[in-house]
Amino acid sequence: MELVFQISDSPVGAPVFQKVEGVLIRIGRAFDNDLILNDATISPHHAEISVDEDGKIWLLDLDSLNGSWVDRTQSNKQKIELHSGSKLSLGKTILHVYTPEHPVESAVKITPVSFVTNWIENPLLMVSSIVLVAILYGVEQWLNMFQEFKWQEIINVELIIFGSALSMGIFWAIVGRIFKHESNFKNQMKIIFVFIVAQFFITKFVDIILFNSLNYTFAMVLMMAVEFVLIALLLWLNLLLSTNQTQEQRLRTAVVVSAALVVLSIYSDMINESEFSDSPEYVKLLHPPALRISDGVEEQQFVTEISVVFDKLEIE
Amino acid sequence: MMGVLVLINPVYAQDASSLFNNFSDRIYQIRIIEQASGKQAAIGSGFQISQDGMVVTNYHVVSEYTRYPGRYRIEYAAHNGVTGELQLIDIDVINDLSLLKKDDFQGNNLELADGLPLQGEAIYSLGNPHDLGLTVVPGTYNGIAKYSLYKRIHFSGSINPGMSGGPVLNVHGEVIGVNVSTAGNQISFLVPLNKLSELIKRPRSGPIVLEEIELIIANQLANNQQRVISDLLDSEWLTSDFKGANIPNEIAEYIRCWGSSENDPDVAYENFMSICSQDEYIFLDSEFTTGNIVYQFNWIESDELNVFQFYNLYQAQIENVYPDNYAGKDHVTNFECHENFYNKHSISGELITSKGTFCARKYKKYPGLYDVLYIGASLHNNQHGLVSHFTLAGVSMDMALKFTRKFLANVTWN
Repeated sequence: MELVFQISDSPVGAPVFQKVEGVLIRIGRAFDNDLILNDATISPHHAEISVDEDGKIWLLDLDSLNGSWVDRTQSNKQKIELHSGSKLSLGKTILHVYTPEHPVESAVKITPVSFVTNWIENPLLMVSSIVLVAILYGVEQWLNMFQEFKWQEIINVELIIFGSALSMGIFWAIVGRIFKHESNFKNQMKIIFVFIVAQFFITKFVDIILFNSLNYTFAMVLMMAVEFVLIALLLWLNLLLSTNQTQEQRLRTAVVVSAALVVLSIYSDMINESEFSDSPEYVKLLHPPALRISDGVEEQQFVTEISVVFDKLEIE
Repeated sequence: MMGVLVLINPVYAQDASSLFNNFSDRIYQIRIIEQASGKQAAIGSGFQISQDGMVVTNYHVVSEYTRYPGRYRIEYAAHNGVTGELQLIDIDVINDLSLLKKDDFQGNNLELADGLPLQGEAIYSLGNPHDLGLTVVPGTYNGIAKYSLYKRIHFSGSINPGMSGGPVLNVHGEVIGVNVSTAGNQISFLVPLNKLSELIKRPRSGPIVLEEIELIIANQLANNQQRVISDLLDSEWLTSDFKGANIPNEIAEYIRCWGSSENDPDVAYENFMSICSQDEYIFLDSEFTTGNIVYQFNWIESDELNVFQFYNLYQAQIENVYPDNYAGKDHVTNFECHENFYNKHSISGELITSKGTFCARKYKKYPGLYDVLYIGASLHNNQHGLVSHFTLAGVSMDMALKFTRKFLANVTWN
């Protein structure tokens, strides 16, 4: 008899696969067992697995202190049949038993996703993205200062940005720990910093388009679309690192969850917007002449075209 | 002993006390009673103006009744404690007057004066401040208030809440005006005699039809704005230099302009402001006012800030724009806006491009009337710019468009 044990509830690291051979496989904490499990809740001689003439595999509890379960049935002084893939609970340890013939999933092709994850491994990325975030937000804050230059204001903004990045990183590291038993904290932080840099440039670019668009509705739709893509991408990468990247189904779940989150936020925005407001909605942006694309119309033409506002009010 | 006391009393106190004694039976407290609870929801003052029981008060005293006629009734309480029901006969929302009628044709009435007193003459305001009982407030007639669009009388004396709608009498006990508002510190305003006599003489076939009241108000508002705005359109506008531009100044005798500038030494820019306004609004109800005319200019300049800093500062000037009148979702729609860049040439031939935003919202109960606002910002320079802004409350589309055309034409560049 040859069996593969997947020890998935070990307190450290990823699941371990161990192959054991023998007519009788003894499991326990003592060193004369065939499968030795280092768990204080497991008895020295906890259980044994045997095979009968028909090739059926059986588990017998050896009167252990905390008992043995197969799936949800307790082996109480009697044998319980095992199948390939059965779940064993011994003390606090969870094991899965497989026969060597148990099918495995076919290999996953290396996709652009793998390039992303490989790129994230680059150690220079962390330093460069942190420096870039610090510079970009420092400069932006400086450009918003119309009074005496104050270092404190720049430091405040940096603290807020880095503080929120850190809390996001910690959140995803915890998620990773739950799903994959590895926190990947450094890689999560890299993704978040790269995302912050990307978002900075994209929003500045979108800002200039909005300034030139002269249409509030278009501006809102464009901004929401950009936000949708950015947030979905970030969530997808976070989930990719936090859960098992080799399973395509999880990738799909990641995309669906992120899309749902973004749609939900847009929906709640829309609900709030339908209320009465004293304040008119228009593109509240002004940029230097060099960033203006449209030439504009003559003043007389402008005064003529504003009457469309009254047509819009009549349609409502 | 009594004789000595009388001799040393000032003359006006004598007049005030005799006026009070002679005419207190013609002055009432006006109460708006909530039908369900029978409790008063609003109070004001009023006075009888004819033998057949016609009573005058302010429109704003009875506005809740006109808004929800089924929910309220109007009552008077006489000096001697007698109460009775009043019927709404007519209103004038522009001059804040309303005409009521006593069901029982009893009581004496006050007479209208033939004309207004001379400046400095003693006049007496009567009413029921804060529900404290009938009170007489002596003060001085100071002519028609200087910047008053609706020709309100400037009364140097204290009018307090609850006195609204009460009469103001000359030394002969004749009505010269109606209490309407106060600016505090003994500065109060009265609706003048002629507006009152116009309302009383207005031909009418019977009491106001409550179902038509919105239409009546709409017509009064429309006629008034038509008159006020077309006067503005017909007149030559006074303009003045404002840094690099030339802007409208006091464009009518009732419009007042104020200037200010930010001169904090810590600030790396200068902000010059000119704000002009007409200060009398038309009261429609406690959450809805109209009739405002306000325009404002800000010139922002800096030689210390770089171009991005300057435009961040400049953008902040257009981010928070609100209309100058009060209105809620029962009264108006949300704003709709149109935006575009537009060009004009300065006197020296330079092309000035501005971003203009024109917004309007519709009055839900008064068809054909809108609140409009405009916000513009010049975008041709990296170190200075002009923000122009105006609000017109309760105007027709035609008047709004013509005013905007004239306003923009009167902003020129040197």
